Amino acid sequence: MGISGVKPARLWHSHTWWWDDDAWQHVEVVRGLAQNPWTTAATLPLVSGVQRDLVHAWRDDDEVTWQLFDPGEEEMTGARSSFDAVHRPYPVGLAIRSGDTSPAFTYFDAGEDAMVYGRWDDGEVVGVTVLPPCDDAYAPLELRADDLFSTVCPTPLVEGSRDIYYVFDDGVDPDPVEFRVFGNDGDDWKHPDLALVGDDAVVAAFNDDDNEVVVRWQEAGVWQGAATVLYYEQIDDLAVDARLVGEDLIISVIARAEDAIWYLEKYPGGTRQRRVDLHPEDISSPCVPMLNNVDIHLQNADDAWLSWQVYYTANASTWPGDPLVSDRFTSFRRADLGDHEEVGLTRPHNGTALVLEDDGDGWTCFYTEDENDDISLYVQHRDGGPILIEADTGAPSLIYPRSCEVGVDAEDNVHVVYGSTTTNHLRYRMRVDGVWEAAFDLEDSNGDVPATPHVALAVAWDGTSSVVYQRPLSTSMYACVLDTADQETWTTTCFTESGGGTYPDITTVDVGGYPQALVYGVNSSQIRAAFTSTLPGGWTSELVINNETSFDYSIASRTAGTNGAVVVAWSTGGSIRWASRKTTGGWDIYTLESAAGEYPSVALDAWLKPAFSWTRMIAGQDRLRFASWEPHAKKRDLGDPLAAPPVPSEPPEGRFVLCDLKDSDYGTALELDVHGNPRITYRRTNAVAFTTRP
Amino acid sequence: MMRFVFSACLLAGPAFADPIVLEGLPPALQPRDPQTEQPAPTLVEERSPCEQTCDASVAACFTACVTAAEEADEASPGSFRDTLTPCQRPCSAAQATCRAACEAPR
Repeated sequence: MGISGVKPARLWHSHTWWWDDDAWQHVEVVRGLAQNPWTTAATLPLVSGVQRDLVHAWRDDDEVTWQLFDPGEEEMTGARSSFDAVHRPYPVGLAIRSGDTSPAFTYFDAGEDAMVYGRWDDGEVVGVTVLPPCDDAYAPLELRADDLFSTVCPTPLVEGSRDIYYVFDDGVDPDPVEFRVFGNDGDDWKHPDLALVGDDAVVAAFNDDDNEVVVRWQEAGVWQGAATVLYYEQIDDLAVDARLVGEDLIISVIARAEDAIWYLEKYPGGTRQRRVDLHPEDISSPCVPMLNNVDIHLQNADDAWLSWQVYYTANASTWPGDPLVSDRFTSFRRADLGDHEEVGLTRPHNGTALVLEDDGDGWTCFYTEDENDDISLYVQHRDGGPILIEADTGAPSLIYPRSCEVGVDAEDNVHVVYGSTTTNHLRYRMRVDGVWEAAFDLEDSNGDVPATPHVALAVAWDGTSSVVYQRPLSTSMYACVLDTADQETWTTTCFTESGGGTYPDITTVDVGGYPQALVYGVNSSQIRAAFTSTLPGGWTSELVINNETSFDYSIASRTAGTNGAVVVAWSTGGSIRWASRKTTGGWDIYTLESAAGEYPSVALDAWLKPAFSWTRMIAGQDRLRFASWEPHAKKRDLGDPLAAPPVPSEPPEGRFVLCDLKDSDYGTALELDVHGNPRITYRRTNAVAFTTRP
Repeated sequence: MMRFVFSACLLAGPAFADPIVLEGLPPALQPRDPQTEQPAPTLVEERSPCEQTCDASVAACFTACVTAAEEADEASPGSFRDTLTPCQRPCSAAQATCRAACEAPR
């Protein structure tokens, strides 16, 4: 096995993180590189996560030191080895074959006075080969399946002109074979990077005169292209990876332009670009991290890993001072890099609801209202169009956050609950084995359940579901919950508070768990939560906060080992607030933002820290705002590389980081994917939108 | 706090012949004895005194909007949001203006 398209990551310091399908793991490879940061890490094909089974190499004055690392053992293996290489302010090119212990390098050799390729063998670098066209600059390196090398490099800058060469060992000629991939046009080509698909090369580079990022690629050894994937004035770093998906070649480029990162993709049908709005590093500069190198890896046909780096200062007043550098890693689905908007809807109502399937795809539901005031209910899958659930429900303009809600069980059966004044009932409809069954009216132990704008749904992995709703009884309104295992037999629990049941929400404990926690308001002045440890029924209500003018409640619950958390979020009109249930009883109450907002939605990340989305009211320009806990927002912050490394299991300390993502008219619904990345559905003018952020 | 279940008729059918007992949950998720309710909240906010003054000055404005929306909803069900959102905008604008003054150089 050779290295299949994994580009060396250029790191300013040698820490390694990897995702073990459950949590981020960390090890420090070498410290003290803050002033001598030109290091490289080369990885083998990623099974899950990043940088599993890798080699690190870093400059130490006029030496390059390298060492193998085995995450399986969670330690460096073997002794450190070094060889002479005159210091240069860029990393060495580095590659290694699977199962091998002898990495290969590209570097500037003082003796040859040239860039060279060499391979470690028995205590020294052998097979030193001069790379004639290459300038004294970083030359990304790959080893092909035949164990021979391929590299790309820029030529020296001559009168403003610089070319990019692909240089490789063909196993026949004593000297490396050269091919000019970009140039011969008088332009200045920069930042080349190389990926391999089998033995075919894919090269990306930036043309600094024409301001374009361009890719070329081989098919059975024959060069194709070029294809421009981005026009931009300045690109500071880029990386490329490529993968065959069936017969289709997917080329992904990640490019940094100052503080912005762009994801670019060429696929057989065309190209697409997307600015990747990462979480902010500083609350005063939302969504604008300070960036360094970037890297991209296509893990499979659907998913990609993105890494980038940030400057980090403990005291911004000293900026730039002596910046520390931290790595960030995240994964994302390629499809999610394009926001989805269902446009052209006729007056979609404000509320939306969202639920994620195992693979992260989302289902949402929403109402539309036509010019005749006829209201229809739709559900929509992330990758599909609107599906009509009920035409002309007859419902009035029920502009509430959850006048419908959607759930999915482990069989991907879809559950929808909604109000229909056509029948004047709360209704339930399911898609079972891909077929939409007939809707039916809900009936509780008090009789028919009238259509209500206040309803929420939670569905467990096995299809067990609970519906919380507001219903009239006697002369007042009450919060009630219906539990069912088969959507035929239902168990009713109604709570005692007159005026209860406004803006309810209900949640399973963990994704796929059973419905166990719900929240509802009482006369918009009291918030109550209820829990059950025995279904059906068993619900016990308790006070969250009294004398709190409030609406738009959201609840989330999650466990992590023996720990667990329940959080509730709501709007007071003038602020967004949230509460966390204390293990000793009672709730801690917090204010997330003292500014007007509506439609808050809350979810819990793997550290049991809440993340929030809501509509921030700003005169003339409402915004979709997202808040997450600082260490998560910064992803895996390594902090000071000179200090002791963090303990991975250590609970995070920090603050909430707020980030404005989009213009947003109305309601939001938030879920987090397995890596804690937000997935949000919300309303825009005549559109229902679905957005994600790595 | 007494818990009262309306028409406490548990229609346990075949599907729930064996109730799902959700065992092993951490303490934070276990139901509590209502007698131990501790509603006294801990309020945490990071606001300057000036910002707090601003927020207090508009709190009544926001509350009045919610009240007005509730009243409108009672008279015409479904009109809560139609009343609330436009009502809140001037409150929000006043709050923003006041807070901006807090941050202005002196």
